[in-house]
Amino acid sequence: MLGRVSRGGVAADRLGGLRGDVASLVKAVLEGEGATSVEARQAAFAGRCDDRAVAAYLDLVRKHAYRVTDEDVEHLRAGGLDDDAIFELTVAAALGAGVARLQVGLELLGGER
Amino acid sequence: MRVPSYELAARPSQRAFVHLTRSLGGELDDVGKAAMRRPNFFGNPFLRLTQSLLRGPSAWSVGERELFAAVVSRANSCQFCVGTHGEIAAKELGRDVLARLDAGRFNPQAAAAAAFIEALTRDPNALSAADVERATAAGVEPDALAEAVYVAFVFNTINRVVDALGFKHRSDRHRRRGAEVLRRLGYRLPDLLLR
Repeated sequence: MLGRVSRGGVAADRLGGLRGDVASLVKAVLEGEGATSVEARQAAFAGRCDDRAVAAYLDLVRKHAYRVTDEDVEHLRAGGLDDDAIFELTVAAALGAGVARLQVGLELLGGER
Repeated sequence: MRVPSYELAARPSQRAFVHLTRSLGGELDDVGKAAMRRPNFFGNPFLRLTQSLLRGPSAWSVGERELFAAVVSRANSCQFCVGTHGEIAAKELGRDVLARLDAGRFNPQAAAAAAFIEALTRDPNALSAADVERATAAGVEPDALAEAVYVAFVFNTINRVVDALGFKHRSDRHRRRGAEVLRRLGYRLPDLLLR
């Protein structure tokens, strides 16, 4: 029966390798060199930001990024952010949404994999 | 895109690469351009993870992993990523693969993993042990399901970057050609371009 065929076959070090690759990405985005401060990126990642206009944009990135408009980004630019800063905060917020899902998924599968 | 300076390659070797791909009738897509523009902050670690995840040894075929990418991207309404990864999945698994998945006419393990990561994408807080049990009852080993969760992680991240920053394919032809290049060569750029 097709439904009973098990799908496994993951190499022993496969998930450890992926975990390490995710950690490298998170470290680069949150601790690497950038136009924005490490604190600003970590706040964007965690979903907290003191600047109301930036916070509203990052909330949109986390919840429904497809609704972001040209005007939203122009608004950030008018507030003094350049392309590098906009890119960094966007990636940090997006990564926060991704990591939140990764943690939920892996925890349901029994924690550290 | 909404960060216009990222359209332009910063270094001569990168500009030469962009010209070469254009002369061959292609165009490096906006994710590739952002990766070249920010190699340390984003490009290197992101492409290393994506290449390993979507092309490395796995419980899932390349087509199934690309299908997972398309399913997550669709749940996030990211047309750019559905356009690319749905195209690769269709090349690998057949033209109507997403419709077959929706209609319950796809292999039950991949379908169960796809349902799990779609639910994880839409509302992670609503997911429970019962969702894991449904996938394992369909024959998905926990480690194979974990791999699908990593695909969900990558696409929940990049879908948001793509849509927020307005990444676009230059044309439908460029989308299809780009998908074919990713299918054949994977998610790597020459080291020289990512320094």
